[in-house]
Amino acid sequence: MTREEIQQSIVEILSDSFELDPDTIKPESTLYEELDLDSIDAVDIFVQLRDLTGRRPDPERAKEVRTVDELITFVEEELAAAERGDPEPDVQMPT
Amino acid sequence: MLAGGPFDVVVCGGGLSGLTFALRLLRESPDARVAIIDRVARPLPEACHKVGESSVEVASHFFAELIGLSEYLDESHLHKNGLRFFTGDSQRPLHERPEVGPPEFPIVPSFQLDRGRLENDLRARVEAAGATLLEGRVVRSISLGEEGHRVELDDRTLEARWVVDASGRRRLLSKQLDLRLPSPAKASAAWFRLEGRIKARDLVPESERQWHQRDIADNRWLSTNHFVGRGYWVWLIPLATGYSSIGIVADHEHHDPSTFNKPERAREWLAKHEPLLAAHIEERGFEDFRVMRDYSYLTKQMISPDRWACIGEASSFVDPLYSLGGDFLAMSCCYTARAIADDLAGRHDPEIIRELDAIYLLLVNDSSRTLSRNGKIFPHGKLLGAKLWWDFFNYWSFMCAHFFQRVWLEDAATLRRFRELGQQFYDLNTTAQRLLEGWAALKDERCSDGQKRFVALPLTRSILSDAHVALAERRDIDATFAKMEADLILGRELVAEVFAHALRDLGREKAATLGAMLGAAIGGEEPEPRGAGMALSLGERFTVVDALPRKERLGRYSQVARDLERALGREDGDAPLGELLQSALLGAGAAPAPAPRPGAPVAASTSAS
Repeated sequence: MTREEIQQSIVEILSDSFELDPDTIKPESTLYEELDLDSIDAVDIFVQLRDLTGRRPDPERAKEVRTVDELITFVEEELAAAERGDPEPDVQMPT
Repeated sequence: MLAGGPFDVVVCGGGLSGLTFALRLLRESPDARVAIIDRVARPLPEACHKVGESSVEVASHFFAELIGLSEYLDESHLHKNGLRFFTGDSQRPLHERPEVGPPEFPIVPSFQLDRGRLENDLRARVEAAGATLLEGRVVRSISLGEEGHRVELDDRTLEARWVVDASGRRRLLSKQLDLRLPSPAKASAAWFRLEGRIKARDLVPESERQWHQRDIADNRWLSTNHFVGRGYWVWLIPLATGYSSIGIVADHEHHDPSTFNKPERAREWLAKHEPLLAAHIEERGFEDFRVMRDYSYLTKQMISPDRWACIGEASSFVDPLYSLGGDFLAMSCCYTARAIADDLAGRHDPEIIRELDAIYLLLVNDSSRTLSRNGKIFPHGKLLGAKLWWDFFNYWSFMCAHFFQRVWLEDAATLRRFRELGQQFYDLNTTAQRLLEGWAALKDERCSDGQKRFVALPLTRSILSDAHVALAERRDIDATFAKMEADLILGRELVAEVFAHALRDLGREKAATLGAMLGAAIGGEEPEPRGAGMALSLGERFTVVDALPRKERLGRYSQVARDLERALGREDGDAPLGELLQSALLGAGAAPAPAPRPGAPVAASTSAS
């Protein structure tokens, strides 16, 4: 996936899930301030990103993501890790 | 031991219920003299064609924790990845159909069982535990007496203090005592096995990466997969012996059973209703084929102070949809073993037995209500998601907690206290099922997707995942009761939120019709059934809060409201929710919703008193 494709998918996830106008979602938008998301939204975002990356994200790294741009980079890195076959973080998701 | 007895217990039937019951009793009462009669002598074929492979939480807990099969099941059978449903328009590619199922392997385990292998192994275990197995013999008659019972076989007569009927659908005692009650569900099933693994993923092209990656560890195939449509569902279950089990279950209201009761007809039926699956198995032969017409039946009584009991399918069989057959088997086995162990220890207590019988019947009837008249719900993504959310919450919060926390080992007064609470869950479930049915009946289209391509069941970090995780925690009896009471309040909120989703989906005009269908259940000061008044739960939540922008709305939502919105999505109705509610209330002939009290909490605790 190219960076543009990733961005497109992320805008889609954010606007579909959180009643956001796609035009307001810019790379520099901050998730928790400008887009007004909260920690539960974050859980839902990262669960949905698994469909793109095919990997369970590392929650510690996910916590560091503050902007849409950082989210795109995060997905890029996850895709690269999937490509390399890196092991997933040892985290049990509570079901 | 003298094979003519006398025995403490004669068990008529050496299938899954009879064998697991004996194991349970011999754990509680190791010196009990137990005889088990079965028509068929070993060895049973490994991959025998007994249906009932899929177990859910109660049955799995029984097998693994209460009769010591945990290691054995881990080694010899498959761990199951929950229940998974593919809904919406069945003529479309599978990856375009909405999916409802677990996003990760469940923490509380369940299993896919190979019945032939299991029953062979259990016979050996039961003998090692000290039971007398009389194989290749037929029960001719049972005579129940006040001073002991007599079971006549083809070659001898056994005397017994207790008789336990585990004869499955032959229902020896149930017929003799006229215990059968009709079920509201009228449905038939046909099933067959195929060699090799058939996986849902085989039906979706590799190019659909996101669909494949949604199932993060490629474990969809370990779920009991259901392909559902109007009036039917089709199961796909993997077995440890390498076979796949496929079954068609259809409601007589929508499908004539004669359209799928022969192998070639079943293929034609599948080609029409589930064409993708039909095409995938077109070249493969059926190993076997069975049909069960009008399979569901209930019972007047499971166990008696007169020292008899009917366990497993010798008592009742509700419906295979949620794989609850094993659960009722587990409960009837455990309750009966407890009553007999008490008796053998000199503590025969008719009051306890009556309570055990009453809670068993309450749960059977509750499940029967949950599992009948669903045909129109199945093909609607949002509606099915809502139903599964409620049904699972209800199941985990009461029935599972009652079993996992060993409430059935308590004294009569405690049993009664829990049963009365169970009655409130039952009443709430009655309202919930009427709501779901009414919603489905008012849909114009035959199938629909809803907002979500994938409804997580349970959703990570939600009231539903909490209810599931809570099963693994051991609580004392007071904490168990308090948790159930709190869950009942959450349950009322959940039903009210399902109502909100239904109202938005149906719009103003149909809201009035839905109101008329539900009547007093949605409003009024003294809601009927007890405690289920949805309008009261909704007051301010429906009128003020719902119209707020997302962030403010979330800030005033209860967790239930938010979780259901996360799971099912949110759509705009043709009017604000408050107006839709008014329309429903007018339809119900009820007084308008109470005006919101300033500063009142939004959480729906008002109906809990």
